[in-house]
Amino acid sequence: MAKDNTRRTDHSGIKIGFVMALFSIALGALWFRTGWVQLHEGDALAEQASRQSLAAEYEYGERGRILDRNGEMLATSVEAQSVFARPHKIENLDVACDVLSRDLKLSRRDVYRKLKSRKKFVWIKRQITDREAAALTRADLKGVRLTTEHSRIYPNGHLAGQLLGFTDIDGRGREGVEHLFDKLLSPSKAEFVVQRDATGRRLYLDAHGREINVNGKDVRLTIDTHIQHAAEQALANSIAKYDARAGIVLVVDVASGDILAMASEPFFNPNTVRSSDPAQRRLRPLTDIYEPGSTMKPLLFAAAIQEGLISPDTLIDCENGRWRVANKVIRDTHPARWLPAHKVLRYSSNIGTAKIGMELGSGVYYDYLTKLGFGEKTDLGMPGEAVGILRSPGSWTSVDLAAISFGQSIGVTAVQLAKGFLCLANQGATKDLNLILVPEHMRRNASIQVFSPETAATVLKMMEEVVQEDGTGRSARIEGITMAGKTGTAQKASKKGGYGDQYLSSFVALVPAEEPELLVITMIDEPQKSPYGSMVAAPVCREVTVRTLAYHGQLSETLHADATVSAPASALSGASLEKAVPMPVAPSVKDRVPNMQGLPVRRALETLAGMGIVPVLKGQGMTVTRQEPPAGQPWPGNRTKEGTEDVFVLWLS
Amino acid sequence: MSKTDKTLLWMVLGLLGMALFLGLGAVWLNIERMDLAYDLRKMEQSLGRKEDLAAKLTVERNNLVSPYRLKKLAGRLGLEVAAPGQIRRIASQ
Repeated sequence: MAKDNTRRTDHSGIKIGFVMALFSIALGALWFRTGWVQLHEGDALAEQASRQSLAAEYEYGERGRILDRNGEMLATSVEAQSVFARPHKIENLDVACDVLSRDLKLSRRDVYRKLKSRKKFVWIKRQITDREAAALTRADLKGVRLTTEHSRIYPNGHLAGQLLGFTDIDGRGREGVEHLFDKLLSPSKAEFVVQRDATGRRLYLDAHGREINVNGKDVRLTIDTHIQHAAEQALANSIAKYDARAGIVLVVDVASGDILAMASEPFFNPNTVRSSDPAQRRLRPLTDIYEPGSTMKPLLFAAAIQEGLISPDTLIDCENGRWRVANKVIRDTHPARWLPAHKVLRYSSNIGTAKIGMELGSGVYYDYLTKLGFGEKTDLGMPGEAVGILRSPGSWTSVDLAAISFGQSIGVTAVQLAKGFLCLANQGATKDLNLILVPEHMRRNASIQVFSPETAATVLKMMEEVVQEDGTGRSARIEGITMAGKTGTAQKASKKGGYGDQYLSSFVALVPAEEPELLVITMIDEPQKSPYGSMVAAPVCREVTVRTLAYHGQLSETLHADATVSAPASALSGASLEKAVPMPVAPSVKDRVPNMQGLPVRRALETLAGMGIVPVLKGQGMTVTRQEPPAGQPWPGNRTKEGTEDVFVLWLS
Repeated sequence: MSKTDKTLLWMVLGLLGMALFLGLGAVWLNIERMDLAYDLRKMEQSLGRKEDLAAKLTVERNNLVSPYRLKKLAGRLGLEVAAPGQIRRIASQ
């Protein structure tokens, strides 16, 4: 047995060696492969892997907002979903057509045509509502997907629509402020890398690329939405009442030159651009040229006074309302013979004004008009602004000079007229109009002293007579406050040549008359029921002014302008009183009505206000002469009915 | 086994244990990082939705306080713009 055992060859060593060799080769091959993959193919494979696990993502910002002077939003962007399809991935065409046409309210034929297209990508509908997007998400159609875009919204509808302009479906500004500040408002794009898992879900990798603000910048206008609304409403009422074609209202803050309202009818709602026509989209105060008529007269008077040709009392022969210049006859609506210059303006005599203009001469008047900014853009920066029509004085005939003197044969825009009157209100020095608060506009800001402050004050005094006395503008009068104004009823040029039977009614108001704070210009184009500025345009100016003053809390407490005028303290300090007057003391509030006779109206009002009563004031004056209920009576029971006849009445004198 | 060999063995075992611990730690951190990344993504989306809603609500608010609507509401309640003579300024005592 032992022999047999020794005879048998022991192969175990070879076997072990063989297995070891095999393992070594396998391990070596693995090591070699690892080395090959790591060292030779490493970079390429790492790139492939990152391509699978990392993805580039873009973030699009939203377009900047447009705000009014108080920060109220006039235009903003909100996220909206848009629907697109990849036609080759659609599984059931009929179902997809039915769902899309039903949920998106589209014609089935259009949807079918789009889904049958050979293109790889087709828009079905852009910027749909949230409800439509939710319905499509529920439907879960294969090959139909939603993507996020920003749509432009104007929360106030047609308020200042023409001024704001609008954007196209791709968010590019096409008109108005949207176009002017397109670059500033436009958002930018940020690109950053995100990690992707096996199912394609995206993960947050790091903040790289997210620190940039991709949103567009905001633009702030000088417009005040409440004043703009007041202007638009007054304009719309007047246009409806007089069946006019169009209209303009401009409200300017004199101290800053800021345009507080720029209304233009017919209105334009930028939310519904497609249903509008170009005539609605026009910003008429800048683009439309009108012959302003008599509203230009105060500027001629200012030039004539500045040149020393006239004073308010200079007598002018108004030819009893009919005067021939060359082969043309000029007529007045208020015929008179001799009128002092201030009455020429008060009654708006064309003949008297033409005579002053002819005395002044074309060259001199042209110089004044160019200095005031007529014949050139107002530098507001808005697109489409017209320069007006102001021919060189060499081409003016005597008829032209006469006509230009009373505002015919000259074409101006409403903003040019506003700039001219802003000069008068600003003590004779020109001032730029502003429409944009932020970003600050670099202006030439070259103020020219066109008229002396005395001349400007004299003309304003004459314009005050137009409203406060028996002038043409008395329908614009506001109780308790002085207004300087001027009406205009200009004949419009006919398409057939010469002047037709259509008119432009206009009115310029400056409030208060001394050192004006507010400038309001109204123009009503082709009113059909009455052409007169005094009837059509002046009441619009009045309403806008009242609402603006009420909004600013500046309306007078009393109905008399004189009562609100207070003398400066310095003027009173040196004056001695003729008789010692006991200081009026407001009676203390008890359970009975106190005696208020002899009290200044202000103190009486303060006492009553303390009891929650707003009395009815009767008569005119500043002192209480009688009261109802009389002193000693119990306080009236129902104090909440403000202004009713039987609560509390004070008679003034 | 000499004392030096024992020390060496413990050091090797210690290093191996530390390597195992660090390896497990790295895996745990990676899982946590992925969880955080998912959470962050969810929160980003939630923030985006809320910002979008806030923007839409701001528009709605502006729509509700627009002068046209306020005027209509005021008219319904019998309120209108003050006329001259109707404003009283009360001096503070």
